[in-house]
Amino acid sequence: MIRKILRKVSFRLSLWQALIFAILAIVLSYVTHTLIVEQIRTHEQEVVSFRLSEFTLEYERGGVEAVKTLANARRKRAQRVFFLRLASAENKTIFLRDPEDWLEFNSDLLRKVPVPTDTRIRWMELNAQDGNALYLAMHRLGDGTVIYVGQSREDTDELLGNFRKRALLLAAVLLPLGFAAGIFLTSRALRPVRGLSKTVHGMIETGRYDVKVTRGETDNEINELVSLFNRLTMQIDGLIRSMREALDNVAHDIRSPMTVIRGRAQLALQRGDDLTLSKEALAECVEESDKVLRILNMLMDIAETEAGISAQNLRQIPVAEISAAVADLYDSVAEEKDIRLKSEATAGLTVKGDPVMLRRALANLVDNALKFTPRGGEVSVTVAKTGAEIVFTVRDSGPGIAKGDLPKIWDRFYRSDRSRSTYGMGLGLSFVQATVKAHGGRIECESKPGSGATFRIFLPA
Amino acid sequence: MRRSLPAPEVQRIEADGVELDLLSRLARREGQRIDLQPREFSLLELLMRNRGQPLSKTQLLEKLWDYSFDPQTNIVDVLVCRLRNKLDRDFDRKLIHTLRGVGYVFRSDD
Repeated sequence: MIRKILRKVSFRLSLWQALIFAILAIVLSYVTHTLIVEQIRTHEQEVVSFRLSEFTLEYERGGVEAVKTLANARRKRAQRVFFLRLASAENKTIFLRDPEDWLEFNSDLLRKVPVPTDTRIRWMELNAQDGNALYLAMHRLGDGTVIYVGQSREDTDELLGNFRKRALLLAAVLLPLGFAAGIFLTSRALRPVRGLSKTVHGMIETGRYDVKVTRGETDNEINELVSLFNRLTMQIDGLIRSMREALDNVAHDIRSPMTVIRGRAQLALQRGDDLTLSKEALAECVEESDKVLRILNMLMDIAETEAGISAQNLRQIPVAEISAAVADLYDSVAEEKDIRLKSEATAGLTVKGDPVMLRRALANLVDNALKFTPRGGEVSVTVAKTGAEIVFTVRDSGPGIAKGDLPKIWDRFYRSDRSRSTYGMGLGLSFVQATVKAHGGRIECESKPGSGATFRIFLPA
Repeated sequence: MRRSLPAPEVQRIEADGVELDLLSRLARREGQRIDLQPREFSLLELLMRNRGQPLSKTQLLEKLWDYSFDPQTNIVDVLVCRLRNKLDRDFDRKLIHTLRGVGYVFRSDD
């Protein structure tokens, strides 16, 4: 259970965030602290420097007495306690003035500090017994006397100490607070993701793909994922439905011929001796079997085409060749039905593809057109180039397709009520579509009831 | 040096009163000229070359149009029908027969 929580995104994100905050807080505090210390030290040095030069001047003016007077005067008025020592060249104290509350201060410490040999100002820090620090400037004067001026760091150390304590306290409070807030916020942000998981789980359990996930309102990445997911499931659901429908149709369309076959065969067996009947029955069995085989072969061809066309079959083909071959196929049929079959192709155009497949696809369209056009009508095949595409157009003067039916014609085995009696329409269009797609093109159908249908195949030039 | 002569090409086919001149693509039955379109002539030629043997619709489709798929066998039916009209209609003896489940065949009536 604990491991599960530790793995959660909201926990980890918040943890990282808290960590980063902590690091930043530490860095910030450290920098601030350093800056403050710098400022304090600078100021401290200025004050001590000033005092040092003040007393040095006084000494040069009036010797030890003058220094004593000044020291006492300063002491009465000083806001800050200060330290002052005059020592001989042999480091013997001539005058010492130290802060009153520094009872513990042992000026012996200073005797341990070697006397400077030059007149440079030296700075140092001494630690008193009680832990307070003394910041000291040491200056050897012209006549060998050494003057020491200093200031306690007790106040500033306390200040810095307070700062550190407060910063730590703040961090200790803010860190867990931030962590908790992080968990809350990320948890909320991930709510759609949990919803998604739940829905998918439900889908897997029930096998129903028509469920939608509720998405949040903002346009962020997670909600976009949810939207895309909904679209995906809708697509999947549609696909499954149409496949089921197709399967139903196939079963139905195969069952009819099979029933006939069985019936005839059985009848012939029953009438055993009638040779003519037997031969007739067998002939019918062949014909009906052909119907079934046609359907099955077409299904397999569609599946194969959808898998793609092998590169070795691709060539640059003159489009006129294709349309002429198809017109040639259907000339007699058109004549039979008293339909005018026109074929036109812009000269010199070529298209890259598999000639056999393209011819077959176009033949399918013409076949359909002829099937649905009544006597005396017209079917035209045109091939031209528009922009960067080659367009094959097959137009008929048949009854046309109703607007509501138009998108459905591409479903495998779709037939509008009218065409139920004729074979091949449903699968044929699916085959054409698969071929066109495999060639990297697209196909469109335009139709108005009463004024025929126009199919257009667009292929990249 | 010996030259081997090429095998003599068939120039005419004759059977059951029907003559086909393969060079000029002309057909006659019992001496009468029969007006055939090119593809009708090819169909008759095929059937006569395979006299007595039925040819299936798929075979005819493939041989006459080089089209090996089978969406609508109507195409072949229509052509055979037209050939029949021209060849058999005015004669008592029918030469082109339909064998259901098998195909079409050129032969005299049984």
